[in-house]
Amino acid sequence: MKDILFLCVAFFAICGALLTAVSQSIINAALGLLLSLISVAAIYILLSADFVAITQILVYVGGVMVLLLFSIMLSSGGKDMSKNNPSMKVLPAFVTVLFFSGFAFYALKSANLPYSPGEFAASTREIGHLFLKDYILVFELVSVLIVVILVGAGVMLRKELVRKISFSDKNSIAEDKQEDKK
Amino acid sequence: MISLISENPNSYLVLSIIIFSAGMFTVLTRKNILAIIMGIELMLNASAVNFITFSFFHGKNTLYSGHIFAILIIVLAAAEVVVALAILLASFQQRKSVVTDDISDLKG
Repeated sequence: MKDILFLCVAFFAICGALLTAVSQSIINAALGLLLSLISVAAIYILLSADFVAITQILVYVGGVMVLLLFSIMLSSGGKDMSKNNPSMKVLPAFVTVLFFSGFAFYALKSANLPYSPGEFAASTREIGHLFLKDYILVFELVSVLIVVILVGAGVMLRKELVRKISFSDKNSIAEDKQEDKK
Repeated sequence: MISLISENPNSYLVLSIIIFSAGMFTVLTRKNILAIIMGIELMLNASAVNFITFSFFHGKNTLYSGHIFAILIIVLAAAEVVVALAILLASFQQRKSVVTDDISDLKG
């Protein structure tokens, strides 16, 4: 029963990842990523990581995917997507990926992994204890990082700054100099 | 001994390798910056699967440090996406393009 569940979920995760990798339309690629992320959350539940699964769905599906879809809509919305990278053709990339995955499979085959699955248990209490005892510094650093990113993303999209960093647009630089003289 | 597929750590690790390879292929072949960001997300996710797998197969008592690292990976990936998309939209206002070939001002 658990095997069938695992195989179904793994199939969906791989299908979503491959859709992201080869799809010609950017919207389809985003939806493939969504499928893959949800399937990975199901894998977390199979591995008794309920809190991480919920975090994955909340942060990735609720936050990151909405941001990605908004940016797709705000920037050109689907045209100019079908072209591949000319400086990196498909064949060399495929060979690189094949080399990497062959190396990883070899490492996995030669590694002597301990085989002793744990028991299913609620993980939220232990994660909370760890975050407030052993990993308190990391916890605080992440909160500082989130504040910095909130401010940084706001500053990055201010109108004046966007015009000032324009190197290709000569007129705006000239205007800025005039404004500086005033 | 190892009868069930879902109770063998290797099956989860193989799944993680496949997802990571798909993300790597995406990053290497795409021209669109948004698609490259999606590939990076896939790669980060695959590494989080590894952490959870090793923490579950640690023994009878799950090692919860792996869960901490997976949560940190998720949070840092979200933060990275926010900054990347802010830069992308600021750049899009200048050049009206999200294709990597058009953003070559530093080439000299």
